[in-house]
Amino acid sequence: MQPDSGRQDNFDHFEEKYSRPRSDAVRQVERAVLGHEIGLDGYTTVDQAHALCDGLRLNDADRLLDLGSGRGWPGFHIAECRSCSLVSTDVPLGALVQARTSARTRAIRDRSQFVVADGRALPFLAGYFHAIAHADVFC
Amino acid sequence: MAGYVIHTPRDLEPVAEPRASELGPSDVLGFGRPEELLRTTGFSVVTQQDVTDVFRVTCGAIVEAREQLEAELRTEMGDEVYEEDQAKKRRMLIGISEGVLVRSLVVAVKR
Repeated sequence: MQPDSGRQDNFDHFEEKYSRPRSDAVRQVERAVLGHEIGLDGYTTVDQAHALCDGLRLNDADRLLDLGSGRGWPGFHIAECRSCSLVSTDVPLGALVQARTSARTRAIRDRSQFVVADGRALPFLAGYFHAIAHADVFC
Repeated sequence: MAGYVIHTPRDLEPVAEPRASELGPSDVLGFGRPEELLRTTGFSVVTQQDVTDVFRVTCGAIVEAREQLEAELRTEMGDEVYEEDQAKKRRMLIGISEGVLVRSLVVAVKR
């Protein structure tokens, strides 16, 4: 599916954003405000990530799709809380490369996968996932 | 499905939509409100909880924290990116205070 020009501009914006290295100062802002250090422009606090865990009744045999995952928050948190498998998807490759790097040091490293995909044309079989999480996509 | 969505309030007058578009995320009006999208894609909303108050606090805290680290952020990100990001969040705060932007936790199940 081809994005229109406005949407392509938006994709370009996020590609550029996620290509920038995350600085120490940005990490300090995230820790101070959100209580975690994965996202950059999101608004999901740790308490709100817990609320997603409560809303998605997953177990360790289930598969979670994080749609528009960016660098992995809050999908990592949900998958760790529920001990389930995780597939993180987003359009910017740079975001997923950083997410994969973060996952290597976390409990979900052996049950997480990363797929570049547009939410309007996901390359998965219908019914493959038991749940979907998303937070502030396109924000 | 569960997630957080920034969107326009249900009772927003059409005349206020350009203002929401100006102040909010780029696609805040592009796809429709979450409950409508979910319904048209075969989901039923189980819970829709307004979390705008926390959104306002979080967004304001990000702006303040970034102001306190302004010198470091400008050095690391560059002036243009810093100012653009701050302006985006300040616009968001105005949109919240004007009542044209809200944020919700939406939990839905496939019908």
